[in-house]
Amino acid sequence: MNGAQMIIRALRDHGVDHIFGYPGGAILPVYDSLFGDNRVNHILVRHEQAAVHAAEGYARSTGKVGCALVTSGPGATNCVTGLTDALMDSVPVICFSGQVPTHLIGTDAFQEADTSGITRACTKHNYLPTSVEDLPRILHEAFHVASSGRPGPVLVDLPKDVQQKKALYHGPEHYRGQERYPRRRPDPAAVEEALDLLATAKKPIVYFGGGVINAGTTASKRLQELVRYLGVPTTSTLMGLGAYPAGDPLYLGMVGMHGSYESNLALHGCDLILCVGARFDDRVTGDLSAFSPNSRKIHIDIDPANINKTVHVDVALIADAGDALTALLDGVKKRRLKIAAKPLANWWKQINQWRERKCFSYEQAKKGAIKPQHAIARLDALTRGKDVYFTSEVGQHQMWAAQLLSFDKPNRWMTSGGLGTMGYGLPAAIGVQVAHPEALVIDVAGEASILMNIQELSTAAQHHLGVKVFIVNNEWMGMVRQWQELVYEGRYSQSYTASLPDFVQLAESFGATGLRVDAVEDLDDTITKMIETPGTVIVDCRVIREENCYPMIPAGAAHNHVLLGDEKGKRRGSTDSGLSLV
Amino acid sequence: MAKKTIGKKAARKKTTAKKASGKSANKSANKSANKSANKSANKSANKRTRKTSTKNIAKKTAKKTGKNASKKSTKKAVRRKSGTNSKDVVVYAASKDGAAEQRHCIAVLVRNEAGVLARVVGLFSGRGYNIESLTVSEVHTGRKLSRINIVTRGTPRTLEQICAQLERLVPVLSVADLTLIGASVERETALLRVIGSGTHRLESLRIADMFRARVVDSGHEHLIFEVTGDSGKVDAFIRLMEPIGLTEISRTGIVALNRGAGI
Repeated sequence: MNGAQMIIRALRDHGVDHIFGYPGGAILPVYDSLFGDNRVNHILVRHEQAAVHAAEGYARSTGKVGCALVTSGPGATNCVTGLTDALMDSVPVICFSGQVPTHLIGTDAFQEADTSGITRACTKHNYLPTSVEDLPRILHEAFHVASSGRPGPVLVDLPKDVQQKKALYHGPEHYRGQERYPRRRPDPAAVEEALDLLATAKKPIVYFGGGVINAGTTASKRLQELVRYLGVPTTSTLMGLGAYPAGDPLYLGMVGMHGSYESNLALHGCDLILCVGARFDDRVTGDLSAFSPNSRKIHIDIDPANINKTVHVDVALIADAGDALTALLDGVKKRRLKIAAKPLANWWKQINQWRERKCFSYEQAKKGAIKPQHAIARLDALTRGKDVYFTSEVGQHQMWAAQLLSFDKPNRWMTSGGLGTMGYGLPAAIGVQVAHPEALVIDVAGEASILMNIQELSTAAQHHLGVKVFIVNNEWMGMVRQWQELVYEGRYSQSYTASLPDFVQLAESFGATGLRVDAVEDLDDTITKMIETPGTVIVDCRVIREENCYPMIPAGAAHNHVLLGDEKGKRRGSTDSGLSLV
Repeated sequence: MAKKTIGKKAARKKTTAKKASGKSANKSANKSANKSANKSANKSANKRTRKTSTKNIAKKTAKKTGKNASKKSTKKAVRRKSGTNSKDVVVYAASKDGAAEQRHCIAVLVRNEAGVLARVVGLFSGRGYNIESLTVSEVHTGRKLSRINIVTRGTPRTLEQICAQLERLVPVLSVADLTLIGASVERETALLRVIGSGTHRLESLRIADMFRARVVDSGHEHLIFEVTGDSGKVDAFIRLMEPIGLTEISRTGIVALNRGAGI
């Protein structure tokens, strides 16, 4: 078996049935071994960045490893954004890149790049096998590294001669027991300490993130059981949406810079944070010196490096979120642990007062121009109950989607959280649609972001992937414009996109359906039509241009200085040091 | 995969106070400190809870004087964990956390494969950590293992992060903060080229004698000295040689082992 065949064989051995890629000189042997093989379905993208994003969408909606296949040089460098995105958001992705033959490495050969050097900082690990005998071990290790512990991207750089040479292939079972990341059980003593803290808490809150989703659907179930058993408020990060059902009364909505008023104030005012699979990101904590000043903190994370990285915690449980939650749940039940009733009731009273503020409210006129929030809210209402997956690009529309879409299940929300990659949504939607051909997959997009990977419409057309692209079109890079309005005194430098394409015609030119709506009266009909039309559909939803995304915690401010939409006049802007935080 | 050599986090939290109390204290309290450190490290090996506030430790450290690195006080430090007043937890960048920077020596055992040094060094530059000294060499040919000794400087929080981040690297088998584990022996070798004749030459030989430096190459106009010792000794030797014809220096960087029967 030659190296190229080993790669395809390893994909099959690890249950990978789809791979996203783009051929080129240095990866031709692998493409040759793909030829006529219908067990691994290859999706031909139009840009390598999209191959990695699609693999991310595939991975995040299934929990499996997503794979990309690209050529050397430009093929590999185009993957860097996708790999960094996967690293930031802990997505298990493997990128196989071609490389010039070993004897040409270092000679500035055609389409040579130091791929392993370039991607060293943007992968969890990368490999450059120099002999085909090493290849099987490396391939299986790559799958293990990508999917175990804190998942992440792995790149395998494949010199062309290694793809062509022959050697003996061993299956994954041959390498069992040599794993780098054995599953780590929560330390019982730490669990007891966490329970002690829970037992004395008066104003607790459960703050969870993408770690719960990465830990699988049982982790989400355990989270729900624990929260309901204790009857405590809970809030999610951008990455955690869906791990706890959005409609539940114990759920306070998303936390962070554009999170809900009640969740931010609750996180600020609580006396105990149980953090599950989240990493106290700066978009969540705001001003660290004022972050949740009076609380003790329990941190469940699979990555020891996340403990005490930005926020000091009192108890750390280093384990898979599902295992840790199960241990806590068992302990809570065994101890018959309850949060003291009276303080908890007072805590809820306080939270409900914050809720009364209705921080996501907006006023939509009955006729005429559409408010972007309303567009998303209707999208949510009209897709409820359906088998629907959402992806998003990055910007205002992303935050509105996170605020207003109601996710009831994990793995239903794919967005670029850590890296904030514009152009993520469409290729990710393609990946999701490949994994779930029957499902409704909607990319909530902005007109600026969508143009960053618009070429993928061609991929969708070729592979008959009926993704729906819902463009919230305000003609501005909305989030940039918002910051310029609030922080830079309205100096709108380069944030207006002139010469936008006609999205309807653009859709048609790619063989998709284009719809346009600019009046609220037609909004529901257009959304329904989008859902019902088979094949790829683009909706150009023209919305009010000047709308800002609230609530907003100005950069560098504490949670209790959250800015609300209806108090725009009394602007409490960012501090100088805050501005440097982006 | 090789078992982590020590429960380093456990060791760290229990011994920071002790270790930070000064080199001289370490030396004199060497044996007992080392013993207890080892004990606590073993006891709670693999125990990954970090309970004590680094800040607390730092504060305690500051209060502490010289030699009272006793078991009692370390226990106290551990017990205080639940009394952490979150108000004094001020964090963002490591330099802002208020704690003083410390110099630590970290030993990293790695699989000796292509690019492993670049990964370690890239981690330091990418995350903005310091490297004061770096040595790397294969230490187990059969198993293809290399040891990297890194001397770095940072607040306790940063140092903890450095070790945790190093442990995430796939070819890294174990990370040990030698300065936290106990007293360690640090050595460095330097070669110095000294040009000169007459009294300068005699003076350089006299100084070399004081420092137990050896002459490894000589000619009518030059001498090359080899000196070994901790960095302070090498620095001092270089300072004395500078005015009498020192023209070139080559230093190995620091290699270190913790004292005692091993970890």
